[in-house]
Amino acid sequence: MTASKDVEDFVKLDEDMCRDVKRFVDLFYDAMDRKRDKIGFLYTEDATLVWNGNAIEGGENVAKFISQLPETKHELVCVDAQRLPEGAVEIPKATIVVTTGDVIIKGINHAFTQTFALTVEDEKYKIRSDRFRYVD
Amino acid sequence: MSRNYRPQGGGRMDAKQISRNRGNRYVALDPDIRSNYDDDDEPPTGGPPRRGHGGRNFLDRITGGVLNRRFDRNEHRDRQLVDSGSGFAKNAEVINKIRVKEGKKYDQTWLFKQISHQIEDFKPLLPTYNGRGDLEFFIKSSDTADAIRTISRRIVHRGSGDRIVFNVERATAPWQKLKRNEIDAINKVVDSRYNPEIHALDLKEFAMDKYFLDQDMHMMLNKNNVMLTVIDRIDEKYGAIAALNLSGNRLKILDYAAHLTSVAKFVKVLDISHNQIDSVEQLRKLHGLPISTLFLEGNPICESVNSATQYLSIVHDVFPKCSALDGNPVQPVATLPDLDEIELHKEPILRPGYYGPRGAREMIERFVMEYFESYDGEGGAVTRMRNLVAAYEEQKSQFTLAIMSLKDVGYVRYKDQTSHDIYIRQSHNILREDVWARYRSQRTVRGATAIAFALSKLPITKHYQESFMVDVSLVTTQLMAFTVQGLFEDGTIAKPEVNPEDVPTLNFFSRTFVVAPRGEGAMVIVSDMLYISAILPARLARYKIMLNKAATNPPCEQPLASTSTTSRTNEVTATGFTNEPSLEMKREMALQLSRETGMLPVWSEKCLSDQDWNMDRARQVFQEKRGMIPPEAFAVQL
Repeated sequence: MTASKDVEDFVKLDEDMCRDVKRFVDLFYDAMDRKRDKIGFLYTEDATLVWNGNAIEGGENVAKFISQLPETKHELVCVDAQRLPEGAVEIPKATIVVTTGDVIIKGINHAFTQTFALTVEDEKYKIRSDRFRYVD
Repeated sequence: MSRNYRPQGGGRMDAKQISRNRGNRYVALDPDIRSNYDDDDEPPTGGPPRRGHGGRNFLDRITGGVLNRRFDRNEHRDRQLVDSGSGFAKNAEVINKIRVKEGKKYDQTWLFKQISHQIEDFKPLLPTYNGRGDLEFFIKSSDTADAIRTISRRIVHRGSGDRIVFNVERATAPWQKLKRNEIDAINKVVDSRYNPEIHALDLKEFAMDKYFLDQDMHMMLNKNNVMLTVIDRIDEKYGAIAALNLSGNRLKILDYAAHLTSVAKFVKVLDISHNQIDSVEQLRKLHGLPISTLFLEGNPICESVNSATQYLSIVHDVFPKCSALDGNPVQPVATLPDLDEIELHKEPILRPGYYGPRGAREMIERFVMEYFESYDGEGGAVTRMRNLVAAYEEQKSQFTLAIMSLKDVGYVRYKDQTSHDIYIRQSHNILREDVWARYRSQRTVRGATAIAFALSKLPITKHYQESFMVDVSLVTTQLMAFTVQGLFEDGTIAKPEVNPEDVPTLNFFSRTFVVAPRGEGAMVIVSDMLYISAILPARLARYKIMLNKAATNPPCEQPLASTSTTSRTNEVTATGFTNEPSLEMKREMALQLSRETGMLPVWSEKCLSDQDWNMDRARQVFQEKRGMIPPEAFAVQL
């Protein structure tokens, strides 16, 4: 593969990924804030969540944990993402997404950072792991 | 420098109290800090601030720095406030006045409850509404006032979406200060009237106490400053009282007595009989005390009612749980459950960093320490290039960064503009994709050499590892993902020789690494994602509070998982990233152990599994427990 072909391929891949990630974060935070009962569909069966240090394993448990969180309202300021090269890890189409922003929980505003490891399952993006942490 | 109007302790108390309010578990992060805090007598400006290299308790210095500056200003202002006045002002106490902009729009009970959730020692005094509809109240403790300042714009009103703004200023107290000997006398009399056996405080005909009469002191409880001093004493020593007698004290206005509602929260029996209380409005100021037995007779309010029913309904309006009134049993009113009080959705507690499976913590901590050792410092350009190239996977590793400040009050300017300009040229913030789309190929750096080179071009930095919070989000046999978040300085600011008097100027970062195993206990970075934000002092103080709060709780040892997912749990937790062999490998290891020990493969496998697939440990355990292993473990297979 020539260097320019490699760059071309990468540009295409990054374009596609950015578009998909934008859709993903819209979908995720909309589900989180407004369609909490459907959030489980976004996680893989073996998903993990670490929420402010509380670790949860298994998609069902994650969904249950999230359903018990108080109402939230998220607002993002920044999203970054990387598609890990094929073969670098065993997770198919592993995409790491880092988001930061504000969330209102129980009437209190917190800044937060969140990391997702996305994978593709049956042609659908799903969350393999999720980490959420307050900044303040 | 006159100190008489200053709350005890001095400037250091500010930071101290903030952390104490939060349980002062910051010690868990750094044992040095407590010794610093415990020294109350240390003057706020005592000694040059240690900066840079010493750097262990920098968060306190920052917070201390921020608050001390305010404190110095306070002192100046306080003096002005006192000096500007007449002889009257000389007697005034300077305290903190909190103004909640347009506070009339919000339910006061709700608002105070929200504040109490954030600030433990919240005791508002004399809440009133001014002409513009602002809620105003006083806070005696400067530490609490400072804490309130840090949560301005953090509480969100549900109906309107408004962010509650707190203005904190120094103001002369509306009461006159008592002399030291008067305060001592009051404390003495209050103490003498406490009955520890029944947790009761009897302040009946307070001013007539023999001790006061003997000294010709006029300590009437209907004087604001006397009432306040008494309540301060209750707060200090008798917060748990169950019964309080205030009868025969000529009480008419209960504005100051209202302070009892935030100080004596367990008073069930209250005697306010034979006073001058003449309106429901005054009585209502005691609303919130959990009164079940009330004595109210002998007040003008009792004369003004037409019937016993009306009398009772006034009382129940203020104290719905009242079941005995003036010595007669009464039926408490049925109340509706307070749905706001019932919490179906509880916020899970804030825990320290989650490190995943056993053994991962040491590895990650070492990795983080070594990584930032190479990354930081003035030689960063060289050490990043030289040392970090080996840290990344040669071909398949990637690095991106994104810079965009977290929202705060107004525009948050990045402290080091030159650094900011360097970061922004590399920023891969997808929400701003249109800005950088045409440089796309450069915004993701790929391959170890290119990454090390790109990192060497980034501003020099100093990361404060004691501010780090690490969470491991994913562990599989082939990768581990974790995020470090914390505080750092960069650019010229990170150079120690620049004005050593300065407190550090910090930024916030989060850095997510995906690493793959490489040999014994080592790992190689596959993905590195850096996020950077400027951070204002109030958020800095809150970040510290967040760390303290997390440190008060135990870390999560085992992930929460139902039994149906046990197998998965074991895979992720009991074994790990480096020592989790593939199935084939496990079989191989079991056969090997079987050959060495003569134990059947299935027993060998169990032994290995119990030891997290550590061959040496399995061998050792076999030797130690050989005598206890049942003979069937060695049965010959036919």
